[in-house]
Amino acid sequence: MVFVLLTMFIVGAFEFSWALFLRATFHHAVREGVRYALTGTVNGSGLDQEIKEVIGNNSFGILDQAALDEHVSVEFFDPTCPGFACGAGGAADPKIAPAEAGSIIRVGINCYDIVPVTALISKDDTGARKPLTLTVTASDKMEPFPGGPPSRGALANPTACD
Amino acid sequence: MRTHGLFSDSGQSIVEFAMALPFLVLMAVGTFAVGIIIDRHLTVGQVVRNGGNMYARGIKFDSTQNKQLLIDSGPGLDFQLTGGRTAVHLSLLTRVPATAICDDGSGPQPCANQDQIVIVQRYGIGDTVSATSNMSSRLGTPTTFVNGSEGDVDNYFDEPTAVANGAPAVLTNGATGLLEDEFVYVIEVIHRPESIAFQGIFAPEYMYARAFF
Repeated sequence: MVFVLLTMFIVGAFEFSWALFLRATFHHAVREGVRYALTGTVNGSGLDQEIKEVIGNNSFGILDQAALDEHVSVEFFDPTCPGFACGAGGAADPKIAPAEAGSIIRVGINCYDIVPVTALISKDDTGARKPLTLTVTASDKMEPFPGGPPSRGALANPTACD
Repeated sequence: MRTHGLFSDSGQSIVEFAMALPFLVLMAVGTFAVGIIIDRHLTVGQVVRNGGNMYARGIKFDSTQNKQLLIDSGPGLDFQLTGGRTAVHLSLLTRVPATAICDDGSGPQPCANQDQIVIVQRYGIGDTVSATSNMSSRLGTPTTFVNGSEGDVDNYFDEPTAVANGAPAVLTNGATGLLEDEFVYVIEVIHRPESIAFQGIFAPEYMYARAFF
């Protein structure tokens, strides 16, 4: 009995630490992604794909290409919008808005699930363990680029929260 | 040789475990509490960096959208547009010239806030009107605005509540501090952890972080 409880405690502590580590790592990664978008140069693959690459390079290998495609979002907002969720450049949806100078960019890692081994009491209707879901974002104001807004290329289209 | 009856040791391990259990539980709770607090500190730091960068680069936090973008960067803080357990104060500070002259209609006279550091602009998000003063800005709380209850402070050359009484020494120190016609953007983030059991034992009652740009 003591062994079981101690094992649960130790494994739980590791899992808890892993969740904290992931969140801190993802915070760092999205901030690097935003910073790249503000100051980096476009190498031809489009801004969204380059941001994903930067996030992947700053996530200690946790996010591979499939995970980046599934979880990473890139949006551009009109900062003068009186309401909520106005796309930059008059676009209806920030997800497809142009990367205009002066707009607010938001980069996110969305709905990344961690399924803890020790969460035996937290189950959904099907009996499966409920995951701990992480979503982190970072935002900043876009700088002007020589020659106009950079091309976004293939748009980030995360499916994890669908 | 095993003993029986009155001298049996079969229950010894249970008794020992019962004695150790409170310490184990305390250790487990302490481990998780410290972890949660570290996570909150990191997230508060993330909000400070995000908000400070945006504010100093000209983003106005007068719209729901812009406030929500900052709120989204602080998951787990119970950070909301109003209320919740987190407050963000965004302030623009400057120093009123030592020779500033004001005229309120009764003729030119020295401004009341001459050579003082004043709050020119203030935006608030979250629990900024909490009854507890610990959620208030440490710089000061202006009460008169050009429009509504936030944004540009009205008449900050003369208005007593516009004075940033809590400005740190790095800004108030004579020639090395904030000078006339200079501006500094300040973001303050205050978070109140929700766990009653942890407060005062493993966690601070309030977390406070700020950045200057």
